Amino acid sequence: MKAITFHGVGDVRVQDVAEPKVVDPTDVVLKITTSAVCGSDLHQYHGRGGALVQTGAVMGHEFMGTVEDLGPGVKQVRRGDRVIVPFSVSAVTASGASAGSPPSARRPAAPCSAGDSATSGAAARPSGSACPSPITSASACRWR
Amino acid sequence: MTDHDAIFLGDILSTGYFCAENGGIRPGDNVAVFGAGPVGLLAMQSAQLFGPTRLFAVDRVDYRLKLAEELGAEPVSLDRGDPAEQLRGLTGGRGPDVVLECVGHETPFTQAIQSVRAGGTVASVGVYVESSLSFPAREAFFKDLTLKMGICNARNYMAPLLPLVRVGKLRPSRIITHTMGLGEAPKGYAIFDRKEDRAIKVMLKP
Repeated sequence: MKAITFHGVGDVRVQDVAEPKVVDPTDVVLKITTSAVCGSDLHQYHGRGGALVQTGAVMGHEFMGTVEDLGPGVKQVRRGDRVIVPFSVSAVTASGASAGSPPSARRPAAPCSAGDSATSGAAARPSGSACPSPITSASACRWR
Repeated sequence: MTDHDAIFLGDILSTGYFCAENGGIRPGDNVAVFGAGPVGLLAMQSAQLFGPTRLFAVDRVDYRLKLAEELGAEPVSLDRGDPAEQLRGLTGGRGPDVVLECVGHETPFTQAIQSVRAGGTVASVGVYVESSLSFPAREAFFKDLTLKMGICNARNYMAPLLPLVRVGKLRPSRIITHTMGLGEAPKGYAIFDRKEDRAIKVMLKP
């Protein structure tokens, strides 16, 4: 599939990258229908962002799409659901907190930039990737 | 609902709303938003849900200030001098009750503190590159300033804000200026970065 990748300051290219797949039980693979360029992507574009500015790193974190595949631990969304994905990751399963919990009951959000193909044709969120925490299924907001 | 109405719930709309909420805006307040980029413009839309009397947009880029004006804000151009002074002039010498900082650099952060009225609130969602920065601590102290800043946990805002988008009380797609294929992404990044072709929000289609 195609993805926008980083190659140097002000140098991003559209390249073929590996197809994403479910690795962990809480992974979801989306078929991206729309993505966008965010102001905070410009930090990466300007070469600021640690691991995210390595050659070939995939750009982007604003995207949405439909669920193509999912791990057995994913309960909140089903194949074919249209979902919005938050740019940030919160460890809801680790703390036991839910969406309605007060801030004190949840861990701070961690930025989830790029890790996997956010601006490409598909996205997965395997926990071992550049994404600091996996997006759990609870992170996807299901809607009709 | 189209993708263009929905997608920003995952990041910049939730962030803009979070900023307005952190500002603690009460009906009748005067509110200034620093930065008329995508987050600032959505913070302006969100701020209006809380009933401000006047809303000011502070930026340097004319075409972005123009859209801010279309969204109901009064433009304050940085090219016309110190924004704190301009904002005091526009609010009877008092300064805005709430300032929303949507840029994320030392200068607008400092200007936000200098602009807000005594006892007012500064809420900041700009993404800071600096690991530390200086700010007018003495002024903040003697103003009895309230400061809130942070990265939005968008997951908590997506579901509650979705109905507001659905009924048109929030219109995030208004900020979209370009929609292009994924193959044109390098151009999309370039025009957004350089503020060329009146770019505000660039959408990509696979």
